[in-house]
Amino acid sequence: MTAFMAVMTGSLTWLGPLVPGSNLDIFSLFDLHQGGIRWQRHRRQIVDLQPLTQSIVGGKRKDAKEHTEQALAAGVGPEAILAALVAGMDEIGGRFQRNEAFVPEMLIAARAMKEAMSVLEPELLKAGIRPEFTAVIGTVQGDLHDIGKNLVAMMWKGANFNVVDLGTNVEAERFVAAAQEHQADLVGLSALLTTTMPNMKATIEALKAAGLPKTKIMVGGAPITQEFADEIGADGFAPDAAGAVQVARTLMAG
Amino acid sequence: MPGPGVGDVNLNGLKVLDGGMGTMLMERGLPPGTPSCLWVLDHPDAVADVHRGYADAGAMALTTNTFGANRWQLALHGREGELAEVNRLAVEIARTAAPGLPILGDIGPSGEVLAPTGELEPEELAAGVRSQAEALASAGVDGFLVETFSDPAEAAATVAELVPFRRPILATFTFQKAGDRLVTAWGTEVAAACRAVIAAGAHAVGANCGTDLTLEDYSRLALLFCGVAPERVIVLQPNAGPPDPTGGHRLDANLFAAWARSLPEGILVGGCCGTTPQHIRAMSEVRSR
Repeated sequence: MTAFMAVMTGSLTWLGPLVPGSNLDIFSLFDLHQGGIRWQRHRRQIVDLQPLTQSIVGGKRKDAKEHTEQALAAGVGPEAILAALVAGMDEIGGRFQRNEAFVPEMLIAARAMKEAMSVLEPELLKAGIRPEFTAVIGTVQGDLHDIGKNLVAMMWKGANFNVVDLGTNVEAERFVAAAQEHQADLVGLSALLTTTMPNMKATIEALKAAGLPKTKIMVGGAPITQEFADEIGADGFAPDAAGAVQVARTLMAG
Repeated sequence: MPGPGVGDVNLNGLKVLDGGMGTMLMERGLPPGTPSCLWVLDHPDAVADVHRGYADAGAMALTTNTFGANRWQLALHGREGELAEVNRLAVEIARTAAPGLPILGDIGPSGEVLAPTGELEPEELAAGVRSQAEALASAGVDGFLVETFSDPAEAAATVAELVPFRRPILATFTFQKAGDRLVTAWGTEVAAACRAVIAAGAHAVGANCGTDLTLEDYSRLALLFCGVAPERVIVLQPNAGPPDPTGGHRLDANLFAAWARSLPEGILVGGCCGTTPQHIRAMSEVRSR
């Protein structure tokens, strides 16, 4: 993978390879023009965001926070920092999908992401970077499990969704009210207990009865299958948190 | 300790355990989301009825309705003050439903994540397990079933707290597929999971309530467990497959019977979510003679 780089040129933030998919990044350009370009003249700072990405992958929350603070202090744009964090979550999510990482690795990565986001979120707001889509998420009524739901919420946040987390044990009416209030583009329902799966169906019925034409509904949780999702009328299903981002993006694009 | 027979229960003599409790109580009206252990207070007759169904079907031991009766799960419902009472009553109901059958005290995971990954400190976990185990032991359970674990460290710490009660401890993990491997949600393979609980003092080891596993996957798990701990009793308690939207389950009693027939001697079988006295009866008919 091309090293994740942000190069500061005053207001310009430059991220990633020069040519998409190539290895030609800013450093190779620098090499090509070594001696030809006086970088220092413009007081540009080159900040390597790869350690930040790796602190997310490795779930090192102290490092994640420090690297975020350092990058901000060095003048890296908050959007570029967010991209570096998301790259970390994408990488650990991919490992999870490939069975190379498991729940504990996902948990500590999400925790590191959360820690970094606590520093970054105010800066994103100041910079006027606002999420394009709003997602409401919660664990259905009767179910108090939140590990999977929290992971999906964090991944959606990273994918630049405005995430409204209703927590656990959420009644169908609260999902409907929140979807209306926040004009949700997406509602995510989670259930771990087989005993609460019927409430998922009831919640979808309530959301449909409320008539929210633009709102898509996604479901997930250990006992949930694509077949079940189809039968209860969900628009999307993902078997894990990384998949939940891909499905959400597809639903929003459609 | 003289082998797996501790106290009055000789694990080698057991062939068939019981099946699912929560899903049976749902059929009797347990509302979605209500922890099934609270029904020992609210509907003891329904719990007793399920126990009797399993005893009649040929279960050679009964498991108390105490899966979530620990301080963390009860606290989620504001009922942690009733921990001792719930566990005591659960034992009494099982004992009364089938006098003479050994009673295994059911202990599930805390639902929290152990530090440093999570925030549950080992001392807190130990104290919590102890409080449930003391209630179960003083009510007279004959052994413990530590089930549905994903984190080998939590399972081992839980088992270790039960050792001082000097009763048989059966410990089972929940497995899922990871490519062609079978691992827990923590990514732990059979060998590591098995060694962790045996080192902590478990007398029997095995698998229960896997995610998206076939019955053949449980057979494979059994072989893997036997490879690591050939001297131990292996316990398998599959669920009846994922529930379908109508509340039914895919794996019926006939499939369980055929599967049980295919298993080597010495494996202790039972059921988890979605299994019924029919499943236990079908397995009992092929395993108990």
